[in-house]
Amino acid sequence: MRKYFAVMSMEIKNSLAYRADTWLTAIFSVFSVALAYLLWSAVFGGAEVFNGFTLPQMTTYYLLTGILAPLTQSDGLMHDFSAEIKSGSYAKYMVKPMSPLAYFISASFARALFPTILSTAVLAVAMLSFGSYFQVLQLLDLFKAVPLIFLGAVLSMLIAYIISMATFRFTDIGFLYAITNVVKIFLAGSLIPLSMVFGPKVPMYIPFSYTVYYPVVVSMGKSDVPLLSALGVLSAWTLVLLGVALMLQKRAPKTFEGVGM
Amino acid sequence: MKMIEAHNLTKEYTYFEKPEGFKGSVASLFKRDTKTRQALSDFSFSVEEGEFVGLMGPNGAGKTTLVKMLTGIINPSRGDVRVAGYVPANREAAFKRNFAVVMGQKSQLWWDLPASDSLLLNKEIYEIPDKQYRDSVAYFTKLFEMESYLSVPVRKLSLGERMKFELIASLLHMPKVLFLDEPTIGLDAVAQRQIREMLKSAGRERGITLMLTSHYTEDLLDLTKRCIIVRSGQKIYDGDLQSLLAQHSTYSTITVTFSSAKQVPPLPGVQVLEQTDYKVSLRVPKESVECCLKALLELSDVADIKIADDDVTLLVERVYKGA
Repeated sequence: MRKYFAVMSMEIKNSLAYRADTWLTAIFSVFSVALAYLLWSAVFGGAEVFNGFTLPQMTTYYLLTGILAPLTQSDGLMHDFSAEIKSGSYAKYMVKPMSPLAYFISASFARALFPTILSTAVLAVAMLSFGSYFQVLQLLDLFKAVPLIFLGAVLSMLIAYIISMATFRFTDIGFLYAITNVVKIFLAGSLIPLSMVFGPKVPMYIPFSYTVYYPVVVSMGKSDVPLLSALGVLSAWTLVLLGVALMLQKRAPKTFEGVGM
Repeated sequence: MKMIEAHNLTKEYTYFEKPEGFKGSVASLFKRDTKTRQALSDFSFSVEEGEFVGLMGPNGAGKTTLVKMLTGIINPSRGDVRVAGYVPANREAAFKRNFAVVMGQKSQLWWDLPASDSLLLNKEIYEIPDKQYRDSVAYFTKLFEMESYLSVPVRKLSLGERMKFELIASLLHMPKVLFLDEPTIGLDAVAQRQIREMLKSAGRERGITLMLTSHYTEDLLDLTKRCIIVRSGQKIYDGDLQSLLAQHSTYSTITVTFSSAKQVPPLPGVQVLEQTDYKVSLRVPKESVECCLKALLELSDVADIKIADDDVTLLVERVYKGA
């Protein structure tokens, strides 16, 4: 395990090398919440409740998806791995005694750490300053959401890893990025709470819903599904995708040609 | 003990051929011609423990393909290979602890961080004990004269300094086999010589088996006695590099400087490369060198004589062409 903590440490140090990028990402997360508030104000049009959500609840939903975004979007690493497979640089993971999958997960967590902390801090300030625009969150609900957030992050990292492994087969996976963006926005619940589209039960069977939708609604105390059921289904999805990722880690490089080395 | 053993190694690549032009690009969306290219065929050789072996050949000959198969990066299409007793294609962690590979154009150092951080990461990846790590870093940074650069971000280092850290990072876990692919590419003559000297010291003191791929014949002549030459995926020579070059060196260049003006008479089979009143430069067949020297000395007032072999680049070109 120590080697993967060392990878995390390297990634964190590396991310701190460019401070402006880190700070600006956090600051701009406030703008996205402000824009969401304006958009949903127009949608609500003065109504108290819309599809089971009040306006402060919708704003809070957006705020929380913003905080979770760094944990649920391993896009940077997915692109990096894909580019490395295409250029032959992936060989660096093959000649050292380490698991590329474990490297991917630990590096993803490390890359998400500072943006998550900064987004949480900046958005917490926004929430405290403009309390009436947000729903009050209960500490117990937030605690309940922690295991979901963690497992949901692992699930989204596994999805990103599996997509990057497709580069071994297709060389260029631009089409998969397009599909995953749509999936992330609509099926994970980043754009709109899934219960508004699919009703209360269907989201439980969509694996992507555990990366954003469930962690957020559990944090808000608004989940229609018992926590243990959600955790059980999420764990099952995580195990299935872990199996697929491990299989791909072993088998996909058999077709690797290391072109460009 | 044999450190590397390969029998009938063969690697075939498949690729797609696309007709040129816009029409060809559109057509290839629907139908593509799949071709197979043999990058290496029936390649057999072995390397003893502690041996330094050079791998030579023109671009596209199959050298890097061979190194990739020996390190488990790609699987052979056919044939058997064992490195340090392991089958590379199995990619076992224990095997990976026994070798290191340095590719001159690929870096394992983290660009924005000091080199010391990359070394520390390798310590954890290879599970190097604390004392061994400290001793190795001290030993190699002293050997490579890089102690004062450990805390400098990699992007601020020169190409030569970066290559030295690449080598240090690769040697920390004390690999039994070291694969070097163009380690001195792009380096100036001084840095090239320094790296060769350091590799010799490290190899001698740590008993490393070295397989070196380089287009710089000087690297190979200085570091390796034995050389394997690859051409079009096949082994065309395996033996002493010096004697191979000697076989292909059929001419010498004799340059004589006189202390007074002289006119050199025509000599049979000898080509005049340059002639002034005080200096003459001649291209002489090896078997005529003695006769030619006698004739030149008879002219008297000889101030200096230089005898040189053919340019080594020309010799290598002849070897590749199989002349």
